[in-house]
Amino acid sequence: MLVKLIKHEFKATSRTLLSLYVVLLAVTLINKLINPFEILRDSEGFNFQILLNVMSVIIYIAIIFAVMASTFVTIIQRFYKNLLGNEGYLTFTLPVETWQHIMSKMIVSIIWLILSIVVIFASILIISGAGNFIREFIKFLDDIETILGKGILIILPTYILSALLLIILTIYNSISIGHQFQNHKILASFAMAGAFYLLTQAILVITFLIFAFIHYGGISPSQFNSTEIPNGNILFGVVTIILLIISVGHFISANYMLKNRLNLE
Amino acid sequence: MTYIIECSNLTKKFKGKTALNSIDLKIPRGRIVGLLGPNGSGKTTFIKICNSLLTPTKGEIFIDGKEPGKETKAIVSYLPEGNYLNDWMNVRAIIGLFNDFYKDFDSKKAYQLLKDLNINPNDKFKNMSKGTKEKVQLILVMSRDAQLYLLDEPIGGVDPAARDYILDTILKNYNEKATIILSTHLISDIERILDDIIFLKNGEIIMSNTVDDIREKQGKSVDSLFREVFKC
Repeated sequence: MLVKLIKHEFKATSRTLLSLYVVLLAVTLINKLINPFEILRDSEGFNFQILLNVMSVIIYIAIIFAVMASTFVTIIQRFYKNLLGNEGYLTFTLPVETWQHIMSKMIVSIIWLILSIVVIFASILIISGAGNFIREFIKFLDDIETILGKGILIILPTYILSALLLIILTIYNSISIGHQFQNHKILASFAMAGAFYLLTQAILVITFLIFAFIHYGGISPSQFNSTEIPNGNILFGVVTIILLIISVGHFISANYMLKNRLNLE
Repeated sequence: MTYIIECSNLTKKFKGKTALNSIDLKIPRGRIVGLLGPNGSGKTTFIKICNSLLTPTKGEIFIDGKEPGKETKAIVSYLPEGNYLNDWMNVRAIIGLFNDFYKDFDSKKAYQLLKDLNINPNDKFKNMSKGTKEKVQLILVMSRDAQLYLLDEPIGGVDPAARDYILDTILKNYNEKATIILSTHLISDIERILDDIIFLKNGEIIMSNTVDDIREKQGKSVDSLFREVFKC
């Protein structure tokens, strides 16, 4: 059933997102061909061609933002409309466990977020010239390993993944709790998301302080006056585990709300 | 044999208002039951609780002996009052979805019913009238071989000619061991197909009886009894 749900999630969300990704790549290729970035850099004075180039650079940047924003909007809308809007009357009468609905939406959302990042990176890669970028990127990875310590190249992607997971599940849980309010459900969902954000930040700051005292003996700036962060890999590992634990909490809470406290009015 | 629906002390409150007040009910299998009452009497609330779309404030309910959940959803075919169809989908896509999730769904039957009603399976819902969407939803619901059909106002939004077709569709397409619960306030239209009636008023059951009893012993039609009981 989970596989079938994931299939239908993709069908429902791919219409908007895939076309947007295709538009971004198309604009990227056009920009690569007319190369407004280089023309602007080398140009002197002002003429019509420059105006055109400024415009295509603005469009390019706008589309990159649109890709990020639309991915989030689609993720939020899909969850809200498909579960708690009119479509919920069908969704919640399918013979499927509630956690499978949340899980399928979560998996598909994660894939879209990763894909949007990949598409944006690919676009920047094409604009900036591939060879150069890859060389810089490898150097960047080397630097990170020197600064943060061994194993970080595995820990860091896991950290990014768990951060994405936390964002998605915070949104899901906020909507599920916000829906319990009898009035102003959407406002309540935003308020919940804000509260969860502050709570997460507080937990992370406390973690960092504890970590700093254990490993660096304090938080005065002199301790960090170094090109390396000793035990940086452990710090990222610990933070990743904390993010995952909070994510699991959000999942359990959203599942409880949608399973035991559902009221579709 | 267990009842298809059993509930006791079932209560639902919204914002301090009581929508269902301590309902006790046993509905046997193989019956067509009219859940009748004026607007706001608790018909939709009861049906939604059966589908676990609403959580009761108090009391308990069992569908086929089980609490509403994944297992009961597999045997309940539900027609909500409103439209749940996704505008970007076409009929073929939603049939695919039903086929994927409901083991008892017969897509051949669905396509046949669509053909009878001249609905093109490739039409998108956003281009359909309200009445056509209602017909599609009813076709989806009646193309399942369920044990319990919960139909909330199945004829509310369609013209009288289509009403007859819909009622015939319901009668022709359910297996006789199944129970159908129909909620409506258009009583005269559905009276001919009912076995039992339940009258709801202000969230309480004020009468439940068989239609034969009402006709033979009381010499009344359900419609006239309804008008008598709910006289304003």
